[in-house]
Amino acid sequence: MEPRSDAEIVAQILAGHTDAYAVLVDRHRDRCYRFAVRLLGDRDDADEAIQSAFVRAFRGLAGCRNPEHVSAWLLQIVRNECRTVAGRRAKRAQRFVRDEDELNRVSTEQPAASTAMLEEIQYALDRVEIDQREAFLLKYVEELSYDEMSALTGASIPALKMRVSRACTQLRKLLKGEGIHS
Amino acid sequence: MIDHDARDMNDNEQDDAFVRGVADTLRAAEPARPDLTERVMHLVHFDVRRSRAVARGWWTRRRTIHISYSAVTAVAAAVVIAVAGAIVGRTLWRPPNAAQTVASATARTDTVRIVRFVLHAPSASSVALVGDFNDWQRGATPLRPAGASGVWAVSLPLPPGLHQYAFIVDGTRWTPDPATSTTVTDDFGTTTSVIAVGDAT
Repeated sequence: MEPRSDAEIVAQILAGHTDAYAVLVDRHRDRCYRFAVRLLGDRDDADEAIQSAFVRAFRGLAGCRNPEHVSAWLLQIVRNECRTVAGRRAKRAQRFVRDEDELNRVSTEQPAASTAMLEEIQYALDRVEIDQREAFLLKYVEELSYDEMSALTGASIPALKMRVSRACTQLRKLLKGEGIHS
Repeated sequence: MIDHDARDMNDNEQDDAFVRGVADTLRAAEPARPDLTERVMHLVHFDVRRSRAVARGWWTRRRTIHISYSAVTAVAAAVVIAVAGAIVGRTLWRPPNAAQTVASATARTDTVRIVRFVLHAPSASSVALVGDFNDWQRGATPLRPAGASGVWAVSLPLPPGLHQYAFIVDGTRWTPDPATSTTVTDDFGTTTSVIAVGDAT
């Protein structure tokens, strides 16, 4: 039996079959979560953002103009929620003094090489300005076209290209000597 | 110029390899938490039921807690609610880790209602308040330690009307407020507290 398309599921939900929304959540949750984790650099914040995003998406489902591309629409809502969470976190962070030495002492165990690499890259990514980080992730991790990125973020294509370029430059600078070039 | 072109080409190739390497690593699977769908569906079902209840006018007929507007009677009301909460907490319902909660409401002016939510949860490492007033967002309204050991509190302005709320203990445990017996239980057995602020008719 052919799996139902996203558009069919959306139609079912809008017809009053609320439980069908679970299928949509299951289908898109991992991609949305990965995007949120990479953008926010924190799994708790990412979890909060996508839970909120999926609830908001349900409320606004009737406004999804292109149900066959509900994936891009969901990613847009996740992106907006991540921005909200990041804003709240920035306010919270102002109340704490960062102690880099203390942070560096937290983990003494050696992670697996692949995990260590991911952590290094995430650490560098967290230091890239959020507009540039978001553009880099949408382009190279979510593999969207610049047209799709523009529709999702509201930014112009030249601006997005500039952000991606700057993110690459910044990442290269931060990750120099980490073996990514090989 | 030829050397420059060759170097530029080499840089571009290195850039491509660099970006591919970074992107491949970042594309590693990052599964969402197993209970995410369940949590979302709980909130979604709650939303649907609330919308239906509002459409039927059911909510507008419920009025069980009256908030006083003078300072003296507000304090008296807080004491009554605190005592009632302690009784309810001991006899009818016991939240996780024997937490006890107390909610009180006071009004500073005729137009702004400040409601203070207090939770006694000595073993909790974090407590947050979720409700229709903050869109049920876990991180929006954290409670903070409030003087006495194990007491968490937050005050916030609420518009007049009926509000549903609950505490989230340690980021995951949904905890209704035993300080009030006014609750709503959904089809899944989840209980949410209800508070009336101002004239809720």
